[in-house]
Amino acid sequence: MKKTKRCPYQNKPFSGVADPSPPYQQKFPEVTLESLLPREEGWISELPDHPLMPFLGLRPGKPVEMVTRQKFGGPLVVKMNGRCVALSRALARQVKLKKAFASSAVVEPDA
Amino acid sequence: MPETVLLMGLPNVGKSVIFNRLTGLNVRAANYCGTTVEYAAGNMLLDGRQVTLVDVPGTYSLHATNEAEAVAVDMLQGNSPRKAAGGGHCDACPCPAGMLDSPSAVICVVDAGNLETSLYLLLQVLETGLPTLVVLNRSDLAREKGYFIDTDELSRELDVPVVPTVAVTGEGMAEVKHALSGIIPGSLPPSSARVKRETTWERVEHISQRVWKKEAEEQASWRERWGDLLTRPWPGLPLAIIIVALIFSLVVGLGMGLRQYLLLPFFRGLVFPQIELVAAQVIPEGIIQNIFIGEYGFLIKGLEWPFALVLPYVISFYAALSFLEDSGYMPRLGILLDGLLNRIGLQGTGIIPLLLGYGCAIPAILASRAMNSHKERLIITFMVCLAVPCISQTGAFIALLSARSVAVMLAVFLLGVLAMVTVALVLNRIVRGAPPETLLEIPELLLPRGDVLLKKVWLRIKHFMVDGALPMVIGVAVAAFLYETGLMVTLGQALRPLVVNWLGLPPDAAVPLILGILRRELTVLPLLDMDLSTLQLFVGATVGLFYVPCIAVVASVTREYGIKTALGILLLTTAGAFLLGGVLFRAGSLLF
Repeated sequence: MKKTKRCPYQNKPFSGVADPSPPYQQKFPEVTLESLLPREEGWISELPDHPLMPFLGLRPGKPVEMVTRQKFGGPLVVKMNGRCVALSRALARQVKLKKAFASSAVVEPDA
Repeated sequence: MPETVLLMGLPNVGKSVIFNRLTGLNVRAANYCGTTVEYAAGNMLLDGRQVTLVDVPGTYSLHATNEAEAVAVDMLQGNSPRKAAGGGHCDACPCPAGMLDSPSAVICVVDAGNLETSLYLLLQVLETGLPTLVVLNRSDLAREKGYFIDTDELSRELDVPVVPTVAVTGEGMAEVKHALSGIIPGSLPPSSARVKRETTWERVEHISQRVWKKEAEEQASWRERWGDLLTRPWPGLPLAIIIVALIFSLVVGLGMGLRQYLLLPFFRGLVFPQIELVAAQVIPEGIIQNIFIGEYGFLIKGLEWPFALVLPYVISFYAALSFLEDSGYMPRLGILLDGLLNRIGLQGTGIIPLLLGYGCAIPAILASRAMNSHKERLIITFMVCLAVPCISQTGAFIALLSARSVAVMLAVFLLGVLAMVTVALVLNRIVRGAPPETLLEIPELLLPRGDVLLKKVWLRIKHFMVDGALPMVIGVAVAAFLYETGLMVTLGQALRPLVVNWLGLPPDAAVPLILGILRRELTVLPLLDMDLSTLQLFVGATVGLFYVPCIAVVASVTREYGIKTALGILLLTTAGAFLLGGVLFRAGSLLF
């Protein structure tokens, strides 16, 4: 039987075709910023329409690294180009990104 | 009329420090976003001419998406924010009407550590066509990180003068003045000569790539490593507990030391005997003499209370607070506690005005302007007015309780925290408003400079002398008058049902209830000499804590929120204080 690949973050299976954006976006699966674990990285692909986000460095195409996830349902702290920004989980769920180092962490064989 | 120059830039780039350097004034500066919540204006001399410099609250853009940005846009367009936003308050100088009507130039402060976002605002400012001087601040932090900004290239690219500075050390300030005098008379080509282009992120990134030059490999500095560690739940949360405990013991320990070994011996050993000697000779015995040096003698208590009992804690508290403010730790503490504070309707950064409130409620109420929603501001204001003792009151509590019962002191503070959480939970339920949504930049961790800290503490001591000590002396004078003329007995009789029957305190305790309206610590200090039992101390201290905030605080609540909210706070605090006091007295009487 052919093995299907499933994303542990419940994202839709990645087709890998018909994506006209830059090459990196064709190789890596799209996840939400909320799903990143500390030290994981990605490139921002989609942002909610929030007036402040672009000014804090959250802009499409920018690399972002998860620094830490706060306790008690608190915010996530991410780093972009040396700047640290804290954002609530609700906001982070609306930020989509192409995740780096996808090979082992994201795509795993499923029975 | 002097020319007006606006000082603009992102939040937390050091505008206020530059403002203070250029004008010689002292507006509040700290290492977190939103320290400046109202504009300040000050005069500076430029080649013999007087120029008015206006410190505009930090903004990310001129899109006017929030109140601060709307004010900034109005000011650029030459509308006085007093007309435009109804807010705005200038306490740094007496500004003549119309002074802010038309800016002649803009100093745009660019953060060397945050170039792209700064450039976006700069391009928007340039779009207005006003003569602009670019100040590249924090160039030392860029150097430390192994890169530099090519100011010549930036100047060529945008056709504006650029001056690199390090505002905290004063580096580059002379050059700023020099460059500013060059652009003010309009020596730069007027806006039409410059090519006006739309501000886009593409253009920003293009310019940024041209002027950002790498010098060395970036190495994580100790500041960065600690900044990260203090932000992570582990080890950040345990470290936060240790830091807060350290700060608390430092404030109490240093304050007690100053009081016990320096100020009390000084006043009681040296000053008071002299005063008593002179007063006894100059003033004939009787009521007048007693008003000066008797039981409530205002030359005695009027000096001892503010300067020996309260001042030590003003010094130790503001030393600690200034360190916290300038280090950039406060937003980190806010982030660590954000999840918990969300449950009472606040963002983590709400911790900043709450902590300021332990100094004085007025700066706390002003600082709450930096919160995102009206609802959060209201919650913070109620919490601070209800149960956050100002530092003067804390000093009074320590004087009253530490020698008798540390347990009572802790119980009073704990009760305060419980009441704060309760009022926040209730307000979170009944006030309409969106739940808080955290999105903020965490500033870099910095080691505060000794000279800057000393100056901040000194300024706050000066402030205390005028706004704290003086009303306290007046309060003591009123008490002395009431006591010596026998009016206090009449007053005690009138309030007997409340003070004696309901609260179980001696009739004299009516005095602090009257004086407490004037100053918060005066609800506590008169209890010092009343020889109270432990239960009475607990009841008296609790009533003192929850009782009305001082008259100055009520005035600033009225100014910020209107008379209805102020009346609400008065009602809540008075009713809360008496209800809780009476219940505690009855419960305590049953137990002991």
